[in-house]
Amino acid sequence: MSLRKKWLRDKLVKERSVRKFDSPIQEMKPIFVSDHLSSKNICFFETACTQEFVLNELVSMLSFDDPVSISNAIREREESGSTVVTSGIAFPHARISGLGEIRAALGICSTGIQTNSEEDPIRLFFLFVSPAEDTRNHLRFLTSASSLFLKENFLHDLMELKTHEAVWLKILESEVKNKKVKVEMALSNA
Amino acid sequence: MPNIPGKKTTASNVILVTTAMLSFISFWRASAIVLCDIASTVYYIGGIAEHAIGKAAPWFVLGVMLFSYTVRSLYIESCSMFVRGGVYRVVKEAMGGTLAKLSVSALMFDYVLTGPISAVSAGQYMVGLLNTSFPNFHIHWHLPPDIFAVLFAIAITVYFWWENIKGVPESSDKALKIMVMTTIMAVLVIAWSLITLWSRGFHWPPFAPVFNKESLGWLHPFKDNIKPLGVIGITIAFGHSLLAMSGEESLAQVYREIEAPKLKNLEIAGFIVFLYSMLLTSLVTFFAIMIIPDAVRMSQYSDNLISGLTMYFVGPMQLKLLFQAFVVFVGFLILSGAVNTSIIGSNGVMNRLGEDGILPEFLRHPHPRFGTSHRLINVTVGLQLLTIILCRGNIYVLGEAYAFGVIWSFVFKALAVLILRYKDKTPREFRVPLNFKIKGVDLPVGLSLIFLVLFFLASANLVTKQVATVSGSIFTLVFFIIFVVSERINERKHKKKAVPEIAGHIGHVDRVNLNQMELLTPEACRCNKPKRIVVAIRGPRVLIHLEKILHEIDPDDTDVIVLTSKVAKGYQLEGDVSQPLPEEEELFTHIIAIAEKVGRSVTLLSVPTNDPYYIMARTAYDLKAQELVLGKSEKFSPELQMEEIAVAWGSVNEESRPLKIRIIWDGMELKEDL
Repeated sequence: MSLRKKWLRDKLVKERSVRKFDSPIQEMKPIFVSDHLSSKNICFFETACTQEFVLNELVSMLSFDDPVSISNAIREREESGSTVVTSGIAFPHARISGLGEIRAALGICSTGIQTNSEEDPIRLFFLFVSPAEDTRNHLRFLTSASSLFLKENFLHDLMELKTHEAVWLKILESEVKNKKVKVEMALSNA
Repeated sequence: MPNIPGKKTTASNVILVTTAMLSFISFWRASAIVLCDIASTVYYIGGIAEHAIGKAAPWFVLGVMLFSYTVRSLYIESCSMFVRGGVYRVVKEAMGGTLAKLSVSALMFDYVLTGPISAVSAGQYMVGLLNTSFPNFHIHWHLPPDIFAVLFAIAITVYFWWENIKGVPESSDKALKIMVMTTIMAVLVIAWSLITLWSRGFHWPPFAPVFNKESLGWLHPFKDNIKPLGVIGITIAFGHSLLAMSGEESLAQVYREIEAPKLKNLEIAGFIVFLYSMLLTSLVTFFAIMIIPDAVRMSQYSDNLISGLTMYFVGPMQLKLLFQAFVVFVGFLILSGAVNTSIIGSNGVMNRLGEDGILPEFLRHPHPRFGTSHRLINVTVGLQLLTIILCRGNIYVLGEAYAFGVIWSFVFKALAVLILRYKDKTPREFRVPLNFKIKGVDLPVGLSLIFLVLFFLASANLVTKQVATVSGSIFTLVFFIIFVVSERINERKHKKKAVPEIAGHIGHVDRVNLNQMELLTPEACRCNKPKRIVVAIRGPRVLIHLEKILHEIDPDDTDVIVLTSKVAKGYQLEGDVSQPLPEEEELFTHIIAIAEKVGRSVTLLSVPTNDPYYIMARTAYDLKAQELVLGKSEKFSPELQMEEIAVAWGSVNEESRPLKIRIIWDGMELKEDL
């Protein structure tokens, strides 16, 4: 049985007992995009690129021994449902068994790359892979990425930047602003 | 992935769906509502029964009250099959529409008379007290009892008309307070009666009933052949005492409103009602016969027997007078409560008829402010006021007629539940006891006996209670004709308009009000409990998750907000939003049916969107919900749904609040904390 199937089996549990609301949501450490993305993993693309090329390039930046299987996993996920989260932004991703931690790469194309779908051209590809065994952090990383990149004007601001370092610093800056608040909120909510 | 809009949704897009159908009450409140009807008969049954069968009345009232326990079982079984399990629904399922309309016509006669008999009785007690008290205050007045009783009854009826227009929850609150007062009075009456009997000694009332020309009705020519303690004599005497258990139908009417666990709470409510009414009604009737002297009992106190009882207790006159004032005050409260219960019951029955297309659609229009079916309430109260005026304050005439509706609705109900034992073999949560199986054939002995007893009592009443038979038959026939004609007109209208069948298997469509909200906040949604769960509903056929959540929650600390989506191209609503579309009505009806079945309240929201995941997250965030629950998508796997929600939640969660996501389907569940 594959790990993914095992994960599914573990998750799809029949509810036996009545759950009272007195089991609070577990205390969770905030998770940030900048903790899993480095400036080395940020790449700028030209208009002429295809989506396939961009995804392969981003996967190759993650330094996997078998980048093809990672690309295939991402493609498979893409086929089950689009990862375009809003006009111009996509979060291609996959969940990989046995992976130690989340790895992410960012692709920027200021003029946009037309995907197979009828949606607007994509200007920001935030690709990541996460351990198949850790659903919670996978989902929370998606939430953090969404919280960061879908912020008003953030995409526009990123498009103005020309270097990897500047983009990474912009992300870091944005998250650091929230970091203190987020940690405080998480602690107060816990 | 959700197509997150650049602009956050404006709260003015959200519609709060309101209906009186979404409030639920405890078994205490349910008992109080039913008792306001059943226990209120203590104020007039003694006089009516003794008028018909003489001093043996208490024994027969006691017999009827003990028999009411079996009728209670009958109602519990029917409620276990149908949440809205009044006579109409049950008879229709068992014997078809025509007999259902006939049975409900008899029941309407019961409801239309419950209000007037209670209200007029309250008036009689009040005028009795005033006329007794005036000389003590050197006031030389004597109020005309019947005119005063009529005016008083009109005032009470108009008051409860307004209470019901405002909504049921407040009325149930009043019913509970009334029953607290009644209990205090009952304890005092019983205790004082026992002291009086102990100090003066007593004689038990005779067993044998004494019939007169009026109580034998069309059987009077055969009076010499009727033995008072023979089968016919006893049956006739029971028939004249049957009014003591009038109001059992309220048990079925109130079931819809009972909170979870529904059937268990109904059983408790039924037992409270039985015990309370049995003790109160039978004991007070016994005490009245045993304490009030024969010379004055029927001549002076037939319409206000408990007042008479208080005047013949041992003790100083001033204290007795004071206590009589208290008895009258409580009588005023409980009899008024019976007026209220009759309006609630009748409104419930007529709503059911409206849902079934038997009454014109416009009658079911919800009140623009309170969401109640105000037009149906107006019809009931109108008929009750007419009855009050026509009876001219005569309790005995009202009582005679009233019994017709009571007994025939019981007979139809018992027969229907009996037939359903054979017609509908689905397991019931509750069955009337004494069931046997011989060679694979079910023999519901208990149920059959109940039906037979009721049928014989009804037959006896039919030939002995002339007023009841004539007036009841005319009223029932008129109502039956109205129902048949109205149904035909509705059918023709629906055929012309080609109205689609939207009620589905529920069999009715609930009317709701849509109120556009200025701002989506917990306060605006009336959510004031510490925990909040948003349950997203996609369609009427995917509601397992809602039912599961409603079973799980503790209603004291959790608000459940049900979110439905109104399909919209943009994020603004256009046109008239105050009227729901047919498909929305169908969805709301299914949601209300689930809430009713479980007995838990929900706050119902409808939001226009072209991105359901975003709107789920937005609503959960705006309402400060701790949990978001959804059903399984037909399009995506649950894991993908989780991802959609995660992205949507990230886009709205400015304060980094935690959120638990649960996807529930077919006994399976996927849950995660964000």
